[in-house]
Amino acid sequence: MEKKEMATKELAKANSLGSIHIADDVVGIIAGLAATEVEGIAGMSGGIVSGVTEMLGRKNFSKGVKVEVGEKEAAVDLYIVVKYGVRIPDVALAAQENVKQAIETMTGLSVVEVNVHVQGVAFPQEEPVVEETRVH
Amino acid sequence: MGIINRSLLFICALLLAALAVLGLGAALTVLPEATWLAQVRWALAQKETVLVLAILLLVGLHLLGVSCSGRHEQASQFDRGEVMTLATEHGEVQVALVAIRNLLARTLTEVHGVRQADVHAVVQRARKGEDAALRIKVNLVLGREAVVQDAGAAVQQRAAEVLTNTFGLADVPVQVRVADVTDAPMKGRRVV
Repeated sequence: MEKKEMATKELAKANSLGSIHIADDVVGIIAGLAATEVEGIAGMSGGIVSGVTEMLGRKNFSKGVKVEVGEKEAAVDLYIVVKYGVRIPDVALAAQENVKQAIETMTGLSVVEVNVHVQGVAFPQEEPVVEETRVH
Repeated sequence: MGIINRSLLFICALLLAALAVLGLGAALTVLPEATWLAQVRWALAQKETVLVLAILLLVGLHLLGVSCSGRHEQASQFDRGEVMTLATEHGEVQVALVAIRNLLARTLTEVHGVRQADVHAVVQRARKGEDAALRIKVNLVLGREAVVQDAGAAVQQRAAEVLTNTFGLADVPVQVRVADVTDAPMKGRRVV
C-alpha cells in the first residue's frame, strides 16, 4: 500500500481514542505569537515571500520563525526586530522563555533550543500605527 | 559556495551533460557521422562560437579557482553577517551586523558636532588561539562648530555605551576617522 505523502509534515500521537496530528506550521504559529507578546519586540523579520503575502492581505503568523519538529522535541529559530531603547539580551531571554513555555504547554513537545536572531532595531516613528476603532 | 558560483556551476554542468550526450550519440553511431561532423563544422565557422568558447573558458577558470581556494564552506554566524552575543540555557542570541550598523549610525549623529556617521561593523575571522572579534569603524563628517578630538572621543564613548547597554557587547574596539568637516546645516535640529 502506498503511503500518502502529506503536504505538510505532521506530528502524530496515537492514544486509545485515535491519533492527534499537529502540523509543523502550527508550532511555528505558536512560536510567532509567543514571541510577539514579549515586551521589547517590535515585530518579526520575514523574507520577501512573507512581505508579498502580507501585501496581498494575508496575515502570516509564522513570519520570522523557523521550526524543526521531531517526534518529541522541537527547535526554534526566531528572527526578530527589537524596539529602540531595550536591552537586547534581556528581550531575547524573555522571548526564549515565552516561546519555550508556549510550545511545551500547547503541544507537549520538549523544546531543546530557541535561537534568537536580531535582524534590526525599530525606532518609534517606524513602528506601525494601530488605528483605534470607534465602534465595536 | 555563493549563489553566483552555484548558478555558473549549474550552467556548466548542464552544458557538460549535453556534450556528453552528444558524444555518446556520436560514439555509439546513433547520430550519423556526416550529420554531427557537418554540425560541428557549421558551429566552428560561426563568429559567435569564439565568443561563447572564450566565456566558457573564463567561467571554467573561475570555477577552478573557487574549487582550489580552500575557503571553509561551513556556515558560521560570521559568514551570515551575524555576531553571537549571548548563549543561554535555551539557545543562542545572535545579532545581525546590519542591526548594529544602523543603530550606531542613527545614535552617533546625535553626538554634538556630528553631521554624518558612516558605520562599518566587521567581524574579523579567528586566528589560531584567538576568538573572532567584532570591530567598529566610524567615518565622521563633522560640522565646523565641533572640536575634532572631543567629538571623536564622544563618538567612541557613545558607541561603547550603545554596544554595551543595547547589545550586551563589551570591550568592542571603535575606530573613529574624521573624513570631512562641513558647513552644511544639521538636518532636523535647530540647536548645536
